[in-house]
Amino acid sequence: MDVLRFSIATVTYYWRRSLLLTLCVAMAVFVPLTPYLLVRRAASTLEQRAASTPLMLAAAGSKTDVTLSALYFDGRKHTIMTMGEAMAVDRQRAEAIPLHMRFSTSGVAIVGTTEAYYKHRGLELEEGAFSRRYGDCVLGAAAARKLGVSPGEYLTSDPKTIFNLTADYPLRIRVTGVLSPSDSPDDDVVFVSMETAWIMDGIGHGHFQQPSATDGSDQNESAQEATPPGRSSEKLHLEITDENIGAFHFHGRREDYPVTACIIVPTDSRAETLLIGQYSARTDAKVMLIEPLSVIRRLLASVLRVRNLVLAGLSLVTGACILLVVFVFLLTFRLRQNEFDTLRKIGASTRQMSGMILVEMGVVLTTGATIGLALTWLMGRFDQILLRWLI
Amino acid sequence: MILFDNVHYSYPQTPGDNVSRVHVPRWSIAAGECVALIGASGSGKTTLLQLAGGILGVADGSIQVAKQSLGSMPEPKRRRFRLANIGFVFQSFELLPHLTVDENLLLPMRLLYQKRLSTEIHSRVDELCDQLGLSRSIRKRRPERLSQGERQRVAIGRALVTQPSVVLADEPTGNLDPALKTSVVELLLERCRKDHATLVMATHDLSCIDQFDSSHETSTVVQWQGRF
Repeated sequence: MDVLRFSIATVTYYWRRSLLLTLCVAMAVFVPLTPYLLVRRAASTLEQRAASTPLMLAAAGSKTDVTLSALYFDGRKHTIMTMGEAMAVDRQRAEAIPLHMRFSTSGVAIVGTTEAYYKHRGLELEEGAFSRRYGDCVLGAAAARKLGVSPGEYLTSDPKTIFNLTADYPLRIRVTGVLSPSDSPDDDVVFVSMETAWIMDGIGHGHFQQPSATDGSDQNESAQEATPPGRSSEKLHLEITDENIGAFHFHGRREDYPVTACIIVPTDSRAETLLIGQYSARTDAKVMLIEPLSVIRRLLASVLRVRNLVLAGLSLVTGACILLVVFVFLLTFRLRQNEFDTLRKIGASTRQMSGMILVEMGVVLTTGATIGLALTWLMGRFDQILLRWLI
Repeated sequence: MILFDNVHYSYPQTPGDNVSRVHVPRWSIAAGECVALIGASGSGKTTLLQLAGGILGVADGSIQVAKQSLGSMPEPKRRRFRLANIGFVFQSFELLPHLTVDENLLLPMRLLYQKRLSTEIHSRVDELCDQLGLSRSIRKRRPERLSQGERQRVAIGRALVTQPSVVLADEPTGNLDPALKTSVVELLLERCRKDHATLVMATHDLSCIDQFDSSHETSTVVQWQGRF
């Protein structure tokens, strides 16, 4: 007998029961599988990013915090180091790429860095151009989408505090380019030069003499200028233009300028070993050299332990769910005893009836499992979006 | 064609059940004979039919149907024999609710042949449906959308589809109104006579027994033992 046909007729006739059981099985497959895959991919993504960052220099403190902050721009606060520490890295042994992460624009992180960063991360422009001028920026692909701006338009940095009126003025920055999507945290930030970041910090600025009230010129402040309290005769530029760029200058020694962290790219493994040795031998402990991969692996080890625990629990729930589905089947077969009695009276063999029952269960279990796997696959298609949202 | 010889059957014992055993000393029905088995409710009509059909196994004695001894037949073989040689019509129709009329009609054939059915079988079913008055639209419906009369006609069709040599009908008119009763009995007799099949129909309705070749009363066939 065409058992499959018979079973499909049964499954469709009792469609409410079949649908519920199928969804149960689908969930039983989907629920543990999705976090397993997501965590695995998240771990792999985190490791990849860390692996592409050989060493990092940062002020002494939490290695985890500074690693997460410098690699994933997650906004964690960390003690700042000075540019002098970055400049002190032996250029024969490694290239130092400073990072400045203190500001944001409409909630999107502004990362100050050098051109070496784009080269190191393999970032390329999708549109526009890189610019060396102060006050310009390039946007990660997702950041450009989120902020809704394109080259030629402007962004304004978020004020850091409303109480510090002598510094941290919102700076109007010009968008010169948008990076190609890289499926990395670089997509989500706005990149500026270190100098631009320092101007936001108030270390660099451009001011000009305010004309006297009697010269007949317009007394209204333009949108690009502000008067700092106590300095009534001068105005600060809040936007850097080709006309006023000459007025910009920095105060203090470059060596003392703040840097959040510094990516160190050793020339070779020998240089890397020597650098690790050099920094571990230092006794002043103002800065620390971090191996991001080992930090991330330590972090992941804890995450994976938790994941395994959660998955063990979910697997038990899945097992219980499948047992419940089988139990519901057995109950429904009991309720349908008349049907099986009829089949027996007509002359159906035990084997034929067992076949019908097994195929019916198989149809529901297979359909449910297929739907569960399909949902998991669908989640996998959007894993980068999910991961970027989760990490 | 059907021969009961000193048959003993013990009902499964349940607490509070006083019936223990039935004894059929001898009961025979000739091939192609149409017999009405009459008796009051609980007189053993259904038991006799189920013994004749091999649904119940005998404790002692022998039952021969189509020259085959059912008593010595193991259960799987008995089922196969029943499928090929015996057609059953039940009082409550016992159609499978998830199958259409067509699928219900073809069910014994599918169980029997376990492969794609030939066009010959399909045309035989078409012919049977024509005789049973089951139109194309009815054949596509599920049993829940049929009237009582239509359901019983489908049940008769299912019993006859394999062209069995024996048809056992257990009060097939019990759930039908008087007008339908006559037509169902006539239909069964007509088909069985046409196919030269032996028909045993259990009934407690005496109005139709004149149409049968003979009628047997269960009280003369069955002896109850241990019944209080």
